[in-house]
Amino acid sequence: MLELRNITKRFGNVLANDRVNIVVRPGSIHAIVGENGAGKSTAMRIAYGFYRADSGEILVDGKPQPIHTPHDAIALGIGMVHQHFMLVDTMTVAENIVLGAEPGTLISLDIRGAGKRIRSLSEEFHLAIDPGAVIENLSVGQQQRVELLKALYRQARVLILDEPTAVLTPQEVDEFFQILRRMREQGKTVIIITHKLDEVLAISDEVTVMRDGRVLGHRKTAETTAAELARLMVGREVLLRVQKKPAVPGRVILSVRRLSMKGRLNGISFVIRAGEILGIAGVEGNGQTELIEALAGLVGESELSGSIDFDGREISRLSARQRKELGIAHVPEDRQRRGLLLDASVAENSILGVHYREPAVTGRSGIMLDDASIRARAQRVIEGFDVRPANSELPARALSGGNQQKLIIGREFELPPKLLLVSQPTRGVDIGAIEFIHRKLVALRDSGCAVLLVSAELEEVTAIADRLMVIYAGRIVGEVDPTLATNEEIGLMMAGGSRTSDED
Amino acid sequence: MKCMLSLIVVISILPACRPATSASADDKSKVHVGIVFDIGGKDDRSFNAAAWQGVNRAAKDFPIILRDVEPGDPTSIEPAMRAFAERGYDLIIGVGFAQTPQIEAVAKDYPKLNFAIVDGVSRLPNVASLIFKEHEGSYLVGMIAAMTSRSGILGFVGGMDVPLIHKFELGYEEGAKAVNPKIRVIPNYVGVTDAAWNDPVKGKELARTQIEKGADVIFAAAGNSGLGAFDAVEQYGKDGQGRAQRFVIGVDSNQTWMKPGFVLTSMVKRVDNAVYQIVKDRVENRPIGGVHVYGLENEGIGYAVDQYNKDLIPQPAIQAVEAAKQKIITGQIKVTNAMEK
Amino acid sequence: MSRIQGYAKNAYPLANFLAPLRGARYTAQLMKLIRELTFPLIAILAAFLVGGILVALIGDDPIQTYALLIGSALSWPDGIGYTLFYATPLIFTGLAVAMGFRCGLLNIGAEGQLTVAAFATAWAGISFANSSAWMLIPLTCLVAIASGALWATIPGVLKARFGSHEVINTIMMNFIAVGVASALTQTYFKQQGDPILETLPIGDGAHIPRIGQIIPGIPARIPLNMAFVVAVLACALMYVFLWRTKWGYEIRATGANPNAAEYGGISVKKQIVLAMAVSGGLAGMVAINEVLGYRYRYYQGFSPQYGFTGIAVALLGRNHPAGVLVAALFFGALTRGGLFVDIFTEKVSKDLVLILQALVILFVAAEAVFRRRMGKTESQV
Repeated sequence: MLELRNITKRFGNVLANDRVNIVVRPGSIHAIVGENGAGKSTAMRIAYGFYRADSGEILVDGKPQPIHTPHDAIALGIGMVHQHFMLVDTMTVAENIVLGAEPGTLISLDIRGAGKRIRSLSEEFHLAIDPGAVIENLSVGQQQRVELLKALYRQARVLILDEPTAVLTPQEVDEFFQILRRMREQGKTVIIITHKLDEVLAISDEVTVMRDGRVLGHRKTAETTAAELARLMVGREVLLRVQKKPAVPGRVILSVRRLSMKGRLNGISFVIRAGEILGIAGVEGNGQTELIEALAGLVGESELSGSIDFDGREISRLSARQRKELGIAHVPEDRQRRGLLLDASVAENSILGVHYREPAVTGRSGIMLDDASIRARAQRVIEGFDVRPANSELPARALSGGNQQKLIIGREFELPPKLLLVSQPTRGVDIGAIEFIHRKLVALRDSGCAVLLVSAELEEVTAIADRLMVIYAGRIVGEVDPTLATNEEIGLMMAGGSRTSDED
Repeated sequence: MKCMLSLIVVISILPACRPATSASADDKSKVHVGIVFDIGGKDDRSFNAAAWQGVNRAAKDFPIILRDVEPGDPTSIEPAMRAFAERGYDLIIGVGFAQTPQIEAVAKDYPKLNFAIVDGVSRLPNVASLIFKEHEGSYLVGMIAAMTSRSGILGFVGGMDVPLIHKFELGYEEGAKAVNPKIRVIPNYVGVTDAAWNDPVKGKELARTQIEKGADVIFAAAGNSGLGAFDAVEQYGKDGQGRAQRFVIGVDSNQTWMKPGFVLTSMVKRVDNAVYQIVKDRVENRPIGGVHVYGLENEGIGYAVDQYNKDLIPQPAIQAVEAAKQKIITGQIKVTNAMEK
Repeated sequence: MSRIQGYAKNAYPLANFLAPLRGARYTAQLMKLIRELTFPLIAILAAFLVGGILVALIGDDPIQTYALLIGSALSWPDGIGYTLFYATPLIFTGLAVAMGFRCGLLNIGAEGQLTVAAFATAWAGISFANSSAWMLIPLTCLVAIASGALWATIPGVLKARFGSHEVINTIMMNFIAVGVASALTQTYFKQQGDPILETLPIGDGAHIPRIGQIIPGIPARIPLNMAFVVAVLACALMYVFLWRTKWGYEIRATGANPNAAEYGGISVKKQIVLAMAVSGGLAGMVAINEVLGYRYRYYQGFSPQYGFTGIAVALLGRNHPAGVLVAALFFGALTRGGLFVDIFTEKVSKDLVLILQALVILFVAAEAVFRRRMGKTESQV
């Protein structure tokens, strides 16, 4: 059906694709896995005509085809759904689908006729999308299905999906996989780019593993295991599930009572003890961001009500700096927006938040930055957290997502913290780094620190947390034992379903 | 890459060409004259134009090398003077009183060179101050205006609101009142910055307002802005006998040709003569410093009567004005100098 | 490893540009410096090439014109002296704008700040005219810095307090500055009967010496004065302030990413006010050159838009003190050379210099776009 043969692509000095060969059989679901920067997106963007390969060829139905633009690809029946949707929020489904698909202006188009076709496509694949609905009123999962419809409308026979599950809840993922299976039944070919091994095993027929721009192996899914795929991806043995001893909770470190923020948080109460990890699961946008920022001192005092006791002291009036001085470290959910000065060096980033006091400034003046001790601190973070490349002079921007994350976590560990607020610690991070970060978090717990972990990855919270709360619409809807609760149970609570706990 | 190479070649030869190669301008035996115009520029058909005419006449009569600069903005004036000075120009002329501080600053740094400032007064020994008794000329055109006016109301449009122009205004008013003690003069000024010399739109606006208040003769002492007043009187047209309804009086250069029939006369300030004379003095190696005053007695100031306006002013009026002129020269009439008040 | 090389190649050397050159990192830093200078140099060459074509089209000889331009800007001593003299105010305003940029602020108001500072400095120089130089020079310098800083603090506070945009406010403050200085000059500080809108001269004790009065061999007629030395010192101080102190760190953090700065416990509002004040103080230092070192009085319209040229200088100098210094010298040389081209060529006017400046800035801006694009393609890998 679709074949990439000896595709090579360079960006400057970076070899993004090195003689990549991928054969996708018609009517199959083909997964392409690899860590960030492995070159999987690049290869698929070449197939979609988004980039041009430096050398190599693309075969469609066995014939070499010049694909220079996405238009060429669409004409050959290749469609792609990007990680970030390309939809106009204020237009209807039908308008979005027709937009750019057909010649002529939007006004002269036969929207109603298109609507009919969209409706019948939607029914054929059980997508349940109303062509007349306005995009901004749809959920993320529905928007994704609109993207699928867009490709189907343009008569795509091959659908390339770039990290499609990143934005979905566990329930939505199941539904989504049903849709993909139906497409396969209808004779469509699906290529799915991902780094989540459980999904690969759940949905795909065949899998191609990439690392450092090269293809390292093809497997029939039925004949491989997660461990084998992980080893291929990372290049060494990986522990997929962190091994940890049972927690030994000590005294109460943080006690939150009836914390509320208008329209965002609704009477949240909980405690965390020294030496335990409290996980908070939930679909994004249900108040997790606000909760963490409120605890870190980044929300205006006037917007909050309730009390926050830290180590026996009311801190809700303290500034972010004062809280940090007390030992509250914070790994923000959006590392590039909140956590880093991208254009500043690793060394400079390693002192953000403690830059104003010893040892970052020299004791004598209290004003001048102490280059040597900053460098030493950066070096400790780099070595302790395996930040690569190990060069404290590089700008943070030059690091991969995983290494940026390790830099932030390393910096916060240096505080040293009594309480660590950590949000989405492994988002967009390689499997190897995920394992590393998880081990570090557990080690921090074992050293007697309290950890509040927020993550949209159910796998993550269930694996790491000692206790698990579920947040929905700004309230804690329940607490479960992560070792006992099933994903379905938790997923139901994440979607606002029944409460299984009587704690308020 | 080839392009880059050739560029490098070009750049590398550049320093080899000495700046001194620039043209014929370096005949050291000749007197070098540099003139720095006012913001209006040498085509203002008025003050700067007169100065330009003067140096050009001198360049024809004497073997001098002449360079000019139109600075365009006030901050470029002094650098231009410094450039002349640095190149050893023998005489550097600044046009307009606003250049006085700059020319003094440069003259202090180059005490061996000669400088001249038109309309300004400097006490430095190497700066010639070329000043005019504008109040006397204004007195005469004020008389003509009063004898011409039917409404008994006159207009005065000044450029920048500064003492120098107050000199025009007061002389004008005194001349008019000498003819008709009841006459009224409406004075307006275009502005308080340099820009006031170069705003014909505002000049026209002021003139129109004055006409609406009844003024039928307007004296425009406003450089380029004054040209707006010319447009304003033209708009009121001529009567049945072909006589203009409203008149304007020009300034500095003779401007009667610009709108024939509408320009009653011009208060002529012979900047050209003054500039010509100072160049001549320098060429003939006469000492230059000090104040050079130009008035009625030495033809530095006057009023224009030529083929464009001789029909507008009746003979008796001219006789009266000539008589007054003689009295001013002999001191029988004292016109107040607003700057000495 | 390939990724690393890629980043190192096009990269963001700004982060560490000109960090102290020491030890083994020396060569790497040197390479960085060379890379950093390549693009501006190409931009300048390209601008001169286009300018040369224009000169030829007008009908003058481009080689002679450029020889005049460069020769008059670099001749000894007058050319160099004047180039440095013209560069001095641009160093101050370039630093002022760069300081704003480093905090993510666009200070369009350097013009107003230096106007107010010049007036205030003249005021101090007149009011305390009888003091000795030991008193008067530090006092007037202090007034120059403080008044510029104060004028800039107003839009800074407005931004921090009410979020109103500093571009609008600083522009407005420019108009107010000129109006206030003119009105006060007109009413209180003018010599009787002076037709020009200028103050009385400042006391002799406030005059700072010309370089020519200190260093033998440089003629004292060149108005280059100690303010130039102050300007170079200001470059060094600004470097130390921004990259070597905790305050500079906080300002840069705010400029680089206000969200992250806030996360790092930095008060973004405080940094905005502080950066504006320092920026305004730097702009105000123009008065040291213009009032204390050159004109010895304030007069209306003394600045040929130094504040706005400062934006171009900062852009060309990449908001780094060393870059600002180089860019200001370049602009100073163009000003000086342009004057001679204007006067001593037959047809070319000084607009050539404006065109050259505009072209250089255009090419530099184009380079920024080019770099960003390169950066984007790489980050998609």
